[in-house]
Amino acid sequence: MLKHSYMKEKFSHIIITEAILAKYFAGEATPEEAMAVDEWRYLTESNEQEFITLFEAWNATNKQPFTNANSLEVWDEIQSVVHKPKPRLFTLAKMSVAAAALVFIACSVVYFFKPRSINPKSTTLVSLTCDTTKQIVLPDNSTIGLVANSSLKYDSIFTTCRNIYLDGDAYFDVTSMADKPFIVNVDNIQVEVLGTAFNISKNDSTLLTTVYQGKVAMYNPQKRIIISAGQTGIYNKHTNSFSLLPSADKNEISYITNCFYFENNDLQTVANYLSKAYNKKILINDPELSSLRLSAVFEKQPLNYILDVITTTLDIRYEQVHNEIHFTKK
Amino acid sequence: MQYFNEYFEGLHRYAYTMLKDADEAKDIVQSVFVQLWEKKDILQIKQSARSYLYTATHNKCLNSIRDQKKRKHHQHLYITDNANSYNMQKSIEAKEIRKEILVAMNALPEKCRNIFYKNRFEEKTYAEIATELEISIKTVESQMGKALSVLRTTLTVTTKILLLLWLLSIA
Repeated sequence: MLKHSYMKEKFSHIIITEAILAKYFAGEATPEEAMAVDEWRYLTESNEQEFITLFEAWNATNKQPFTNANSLEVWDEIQSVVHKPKPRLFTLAKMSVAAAALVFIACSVVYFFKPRSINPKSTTLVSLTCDTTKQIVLPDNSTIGLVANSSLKYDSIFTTCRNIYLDGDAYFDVTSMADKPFIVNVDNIQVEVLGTAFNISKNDSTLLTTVYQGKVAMYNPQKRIIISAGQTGIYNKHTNSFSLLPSADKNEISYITNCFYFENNDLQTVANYLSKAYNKKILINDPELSSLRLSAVFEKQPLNYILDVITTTLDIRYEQVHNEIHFTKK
Repeated sequence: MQYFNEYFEGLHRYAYTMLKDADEAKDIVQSVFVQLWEKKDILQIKQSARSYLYTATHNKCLNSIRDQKKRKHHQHLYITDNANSYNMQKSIEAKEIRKEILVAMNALPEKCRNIFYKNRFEEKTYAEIATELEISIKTVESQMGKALSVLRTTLTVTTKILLLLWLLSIA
């Protein structure tokens, strides 16, 4: 059944080659090329079959698969927009955005924030530890993404300043309040916030503060550094010194965003980030594999998918041993 | 509008190839049709309606991509449990197809595979790949075509059946 048995202008000067089809699937086709591809596709039943098969195979690795829209619904929506007075167009767009935001806020408040007893008359210390990465909303609407097995303490009501005590790793998105400084206390170091988004992570030797938006001051009684957006502040516990890196690695917050941007990173580093984000021990059995390099982008993909891509790209294997992942040679 | 029935699906797929998001693609194509309706009285469309539809879709998608790139710098980062994007991945058929495709792609000659991976997994555009590898865009185009032909021939019968099953399940 051929739907499009007549064509107005033919684009037969564009011959459909595999290069043109690949361009189309890759999202690089010009409008003329796209029209030519569709012309070819509707020409015969076998072309159509082939097009669909290739289209689906090409997009099988996408996180959002293609699903046909309900054309009747779409048509109705167009009709309702087109036959009403102009202002309707804006209301439609604004309403759907507002509705989405409301739903999200409602969900996050209900699902994520479960404080212990809060006495409205006096401030109590709220203490939290979660076994999975959780998002916490503070009394001033700042949000904290707390890594599994890290703990947080803060006053239930913020009076003159906002003091947070952190043991572990967390991502902060702080509401700007000039009169109430937001101070995170980690070990003997304080990170004071000047209205921003930043991440704190620590290991045995260093404390890292990565700033994505705004400015942050990191200090102890002797020294103090200012970290701006796009920079990372490092405190070295052994030498008791501060230093500043002119970069902000987006992978540091991958445990929050579930987005990884690997650029020629070695497998050990990749394994560490994945381990933290998916809360699973990931080990490299053969030491020579640790220095293999990987470049790839993964946005909100399940761990299995990422492991498949890594093992195929690097020509290695992985196996699940109890609740751990082990990378081995092929 | 007779154009709608004839061109909607094709435009929807075209927008999807650029945005990789079926819902957003639907929204954009929908707004293009609205625009066509609004403009038909005001201007004389010199090109055919079909040309206008494809060109407008292409431009809107490019704008959306550019805006998204800007937004990524000011991203509000929340943990979202997006169940929808996991449903497909969870299906066994999709997993099998993915594995077959990854294995097939492994058989590509090195230059071709490198270019294909940069496009599919590093999400780089043809222009970015050409600049990075210091080759012409035409070379990228033909290498991607080669990758497609490998995909075409290595899609075994099993995969075609799996694809069909999977297509039926998400319909």
